[in-house]
Amino acid sequence: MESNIINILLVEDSPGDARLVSEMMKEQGAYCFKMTHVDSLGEALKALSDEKFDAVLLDMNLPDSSGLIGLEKIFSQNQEVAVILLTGVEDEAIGMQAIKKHASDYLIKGKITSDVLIRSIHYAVERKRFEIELENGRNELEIKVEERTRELVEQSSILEAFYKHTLTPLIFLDKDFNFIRVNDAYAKVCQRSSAEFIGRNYFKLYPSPELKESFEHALKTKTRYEIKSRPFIFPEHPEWGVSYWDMALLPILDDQAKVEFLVLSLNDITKHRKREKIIQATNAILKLFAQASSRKEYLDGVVNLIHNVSGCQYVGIRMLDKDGRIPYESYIGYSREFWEAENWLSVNNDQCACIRVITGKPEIQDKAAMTEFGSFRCENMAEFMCGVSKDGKNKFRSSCLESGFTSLGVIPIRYIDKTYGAIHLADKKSNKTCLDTIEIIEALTPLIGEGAYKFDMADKVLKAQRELMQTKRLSDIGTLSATVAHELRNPLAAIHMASYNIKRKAQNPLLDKHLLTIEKKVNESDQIINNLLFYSRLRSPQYENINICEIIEECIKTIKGRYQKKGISIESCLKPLKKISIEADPLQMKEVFNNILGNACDAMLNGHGKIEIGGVLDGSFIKLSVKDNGAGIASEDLLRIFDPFFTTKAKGTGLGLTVCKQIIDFHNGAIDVASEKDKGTTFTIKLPVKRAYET
Amino acid sequence: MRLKKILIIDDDIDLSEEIAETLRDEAHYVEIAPDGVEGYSRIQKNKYDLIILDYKIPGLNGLDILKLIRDNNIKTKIFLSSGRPFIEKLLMDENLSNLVTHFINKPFNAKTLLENINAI
Repeated sequence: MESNIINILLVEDSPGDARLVSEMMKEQGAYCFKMTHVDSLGEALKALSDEKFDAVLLDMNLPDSSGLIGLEKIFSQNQEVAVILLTGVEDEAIGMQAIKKHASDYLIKGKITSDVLIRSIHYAVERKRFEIELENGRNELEIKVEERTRELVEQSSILEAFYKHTLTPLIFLDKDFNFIRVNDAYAKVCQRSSAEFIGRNYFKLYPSPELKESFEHALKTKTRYEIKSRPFIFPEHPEWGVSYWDMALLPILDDQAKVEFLVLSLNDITKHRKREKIIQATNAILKLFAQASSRKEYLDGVVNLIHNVSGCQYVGIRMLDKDGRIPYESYIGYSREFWEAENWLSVNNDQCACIRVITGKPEIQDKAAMTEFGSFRCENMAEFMCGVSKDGKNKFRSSCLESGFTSLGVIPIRYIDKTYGAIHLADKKSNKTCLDTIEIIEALTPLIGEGAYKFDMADKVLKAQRELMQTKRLSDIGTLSATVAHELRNPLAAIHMASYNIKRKAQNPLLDKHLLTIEKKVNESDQIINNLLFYSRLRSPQYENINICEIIEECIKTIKGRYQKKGISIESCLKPLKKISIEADPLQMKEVFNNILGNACDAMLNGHGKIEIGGVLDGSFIKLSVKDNGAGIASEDLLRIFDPFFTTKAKGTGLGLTVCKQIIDFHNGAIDVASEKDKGTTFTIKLPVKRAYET
Repeated sequence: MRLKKILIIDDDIDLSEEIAETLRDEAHYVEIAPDGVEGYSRIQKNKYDLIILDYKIPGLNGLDILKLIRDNNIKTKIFLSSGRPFIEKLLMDENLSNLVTHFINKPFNAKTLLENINAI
């Protein structure tokens, strides 16, 4: 609270008038006034700058100022002091002016009483105080408004920056779903400028009755609408294919809860969806691999999976085999005839896009349909072929077109550096082999290839184990036989010796016959043991690449050496096989020919005769013949000559031909004999060039 | 036809005794050893014209006996009996083949044996 002392400055050059005013002030003693008297404007201004006055009584007629000028000057220097004009002139107009120029009051000398004066002063001072408070309040308010405005501007620019830079496409729509504005992210997605959208209607641009219904519902209920994974094709860019979007529409309400506008935000989840699909498919393949018990089962499962992932009607997996052919190991949808015909396709002989995908050698006419990964992809075969030159058309077979396949895909299956084969997709409808589908399958092929490879390895290991088991079994039998045979020799020796001793000591003719029997049987037993030992040493062929001509030449030399006393001529005509090498066991082959040639020589009557050896290549086999003009074999014996221990020779083991047949059987060949008594015998032997693998 | 002093080293005693009987009937002098150790101890003590040696015997086997004979420069004829073809190759590798006069196979023919003995 201010003190009750009112500080007054009287600016009056007339001393009489000044005294009058002073007297008037004193009369009203109830209030305290402190009065200072100056007699010029200049002094008044000085006093005002030195001291704080509540009110100024200003004479309008001063030596250094007249009229309202003094008032102006005072106000310009000091707005917080109340100025009351004193004048001798009664002039309403000037009075009004004075008020306009911020005078608090306008008093006429001679017409005022002291209480009028004092009242005027009081009111003027109060009014001034009030004015000052008001002014302060207004200033404060202005500052607050400025601050607030600054805050709002800041927020608005943050919002604006967000709107401009966010990667999320945003659209502002009005209540009729016209574009108000779109942000850069959205414009980028549509590959247009954001200005192009303003004013256009969303549903004119992207017609969709269901979406419109949902938007209208959101508008009506003032609630947020969201849809996930909505497929979308840009009407003006169908070549971009299908993309998938999460959408959220939010109505923005004004302060009367009416919808002012709507914000639509979008999220392109196409890549995400694709990745999800790949992950799911990968997990399915891993599961398949873990659970499948054979390669066929695995590949069947893979084909099924791809059928589901791609939605294509015809799916198949071709795998490269060791002959360069690419048969379908598993398929869905194709007819059996198609499958059989296609299985003859070979990378060595045939020309087609699928072959070029597998060999990794695309040609010019394929380029338009090749993906980066190396797959062939076509969504409309007829259109594609139209664009191919006449020469280029020869590089394709017509089987796919003839079957009515319009969409085609061939994706190579590679594992590390090898191509294992390819996945084939086909459909009678067009646009079933879009890039995304193909890319998903491309991402799966390394795993598919690896699975196929692992099953291959597992199969090979199994096969090797089986072979090993068999070899071991044979070897066990061999060892057993050999051991038994050896063990039997000792008792036989003792029997023989004892029998000899009996004969010598007894010298009894009655015993001779029986002792002879013992002797004979000891010999026979010995023979049997020999045969058994020989037979038991038979083992699985140890394959090498051998030149059969060389082997036969060696055998001829051996035989000639053994039978040199006899006049036997051996002719060989093996020219067709001179450069051919076959996979066989060389020692066993020698055994066979030594045996057969030996037999031929033994069959020569009177030690004279001719042996002719011939050989030709027949497909994947070689055919050899050994013809002699010896004693021949009786027809009833022909049936038994390969039987063990069958012999017509006095000094034969009877095992020779049995062993020969066994060896040839091991090699997956065949031996045959034709003979006529006294005319001669011909043995024919067929052997495969490449060893056969067990299936 | 000189009579020979013969040592049979074989673990089949019945066989050895039959052979010994056959040879003694021809007036040869025959000793028998059932294993390699006894066989070799006799060889060290006595001089024999012929040793009929079986390869597969307990204690020292045929190969060991041959080595000892060679290393100790023992002069004698040897008939080696074994059923296995690889023994011949083995001896060739060990440079012992020249020690063996005959490789004989069981059951050996008594007559042939007597002839071979007379021939040494």
